Amino acid sequence: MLKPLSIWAYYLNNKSKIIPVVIIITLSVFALITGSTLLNFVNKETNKFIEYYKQYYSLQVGSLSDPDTTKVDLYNEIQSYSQTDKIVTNFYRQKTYVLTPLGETPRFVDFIESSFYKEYSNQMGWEIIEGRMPRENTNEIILSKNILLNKGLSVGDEIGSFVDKDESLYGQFKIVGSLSDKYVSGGFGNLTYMQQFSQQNPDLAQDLILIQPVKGKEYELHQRLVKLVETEPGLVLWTQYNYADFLAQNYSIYNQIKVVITLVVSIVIALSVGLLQIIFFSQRMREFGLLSAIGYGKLYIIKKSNFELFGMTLVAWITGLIFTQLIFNMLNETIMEAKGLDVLTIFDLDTMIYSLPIPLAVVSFSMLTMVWNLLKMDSIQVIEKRL
Amino acid sequence: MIYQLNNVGLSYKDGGNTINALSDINLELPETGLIGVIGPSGSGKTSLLYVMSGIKVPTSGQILYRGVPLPHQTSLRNQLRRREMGFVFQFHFLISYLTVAQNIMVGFDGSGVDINYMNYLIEELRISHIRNKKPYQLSGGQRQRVAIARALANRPKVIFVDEPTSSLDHVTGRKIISLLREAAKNALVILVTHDYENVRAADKIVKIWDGKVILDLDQNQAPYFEGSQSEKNPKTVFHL
Repeated sequence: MLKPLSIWAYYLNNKSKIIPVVIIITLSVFALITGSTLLNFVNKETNKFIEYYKQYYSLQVGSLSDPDTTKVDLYNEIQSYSQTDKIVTNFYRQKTYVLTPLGETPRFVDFIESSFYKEYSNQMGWEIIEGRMPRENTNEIILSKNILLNKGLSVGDEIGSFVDKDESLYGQFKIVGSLSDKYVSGGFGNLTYMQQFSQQNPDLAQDLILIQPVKGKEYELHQRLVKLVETEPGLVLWTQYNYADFLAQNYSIYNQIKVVITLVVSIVIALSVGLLQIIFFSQRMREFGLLSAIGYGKLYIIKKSNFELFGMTLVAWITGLIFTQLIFNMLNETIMEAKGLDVLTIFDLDTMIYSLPIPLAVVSFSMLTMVWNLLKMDSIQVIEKRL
Repeated sequence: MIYQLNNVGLSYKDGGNTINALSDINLELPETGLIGVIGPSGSGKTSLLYVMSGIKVPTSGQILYRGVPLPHQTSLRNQLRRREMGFVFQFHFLISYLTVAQNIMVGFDGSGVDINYMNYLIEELRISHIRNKKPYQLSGGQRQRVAIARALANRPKVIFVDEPTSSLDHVTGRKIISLLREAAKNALVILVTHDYENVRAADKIVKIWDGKVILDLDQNQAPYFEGSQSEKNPKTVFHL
């Protein structure tokens, strides 16, 4: 038999009262974790490019303001830096977009010399899992498996704006292989083909060079390139450092949004659950009055009611976490894994932290109101039935 | 002597007036026995019960419990002492979401329950068939019997009983008085009632009138008590 003064006795015997409270907390935990997870998803997606920029700095060469400065001079200068390990000037970049729950996010498809395929793949952490590398002077490309999954394509299919007008990858390409990803998904094709193709389509040409820093000299090279870019407004530089700064600014906005949403939701939930608790509490005044009269001190009653509240909130929070993970599992199975996207999970410290204010706010608010009422409680009024 | 009340008074403000619920109460009560506290409604019987149990603090005088002054109402010592006591209030105060059996066990804080004694009480009070029911499923009489079982279950040293038979039929009422009588062999039972019939079995009768003790009859005199509620002659009492 359940002990009459067990902290679970009230709620187990009043399921109609605990269910709405658990549902409110569960749904709010679900809402906050889902919101936080999706925002984190965006952060992680953008963060993946840091890994790219750790391998290669990219310098976009737009309209150089100084007519005396030729691109060749620029390349020669960068090549002359002692911090530069390698510079890749023969390079075209296009982008394709993968669909995520929060919209589209870009992936690079680079057109490089066939002699550079292996090295580039190694640097990017890509390995062929199906098919083969693109052949010289063909429209063949190889893409990450996750990109193929996302677009519903397979090795042997064709991709490009000529095949699908909604595709951002300009042209028509045959997919001849798929890659596993270590950092960020992407792909590559043959430079010779693209050079010829871009002559007929001049808008395609991207004046972009890749610069590989000497190991241990990454930051020094970054600093030199920053100085170089400052003298030439037509240049756009991305390194792991300035990209991290760019992300930090975005994170700051995301984090502010998360904090505001979390606070608002927590306060609203704490108030609504707290009000329910006050109603339940007022219905139990005779019980508390009786306990007080028969020798259970107010401290005992306060402790008991607070443990009840804490236990109920903990159960509701855990229920919210389990419910959220179950929904995530369903989404992972039907969408995320099927579309080659990172799976959603609650087992992430950053995500978990944003679900904590709900139980904390609920417990704090309800505890304060209960303690206040219990301290005010006059057991004589209760047992004389004046309350 | 378990209780000694010396000039105990209890007054409170009601609007602008001071109400004297009790004045100059002097009583000595033994370790065991059934004490009948009688008097008409509003005479101060329940107030006497509250101050003796420590639920209310007297505004004057002193109450000695086992020779020690009653501590402050909210002190831990008072709370622990009250755990040695059993209470049957005028209103049954059963906890609505607990079963009858759980309500009876409330005084135990879930431990140290003498199941055999609890079952004996449940049988004697004729509530065994409702032990798993909730209070809202019970009649008024059944609730009162459960409240009595709760008060007796932890074999308290002092049992305060306020109008226990008010909502019971005659047979059950007699049964309860008989149980209290039995409990009084090992505990002090203070029975507050306005029903003179209930105190016939008392070892001592205290009659309260207008907040004062107007009769304090010992076990030699108590059996002959007949009672009177006449305001003109409240002490008309004996049937010799």
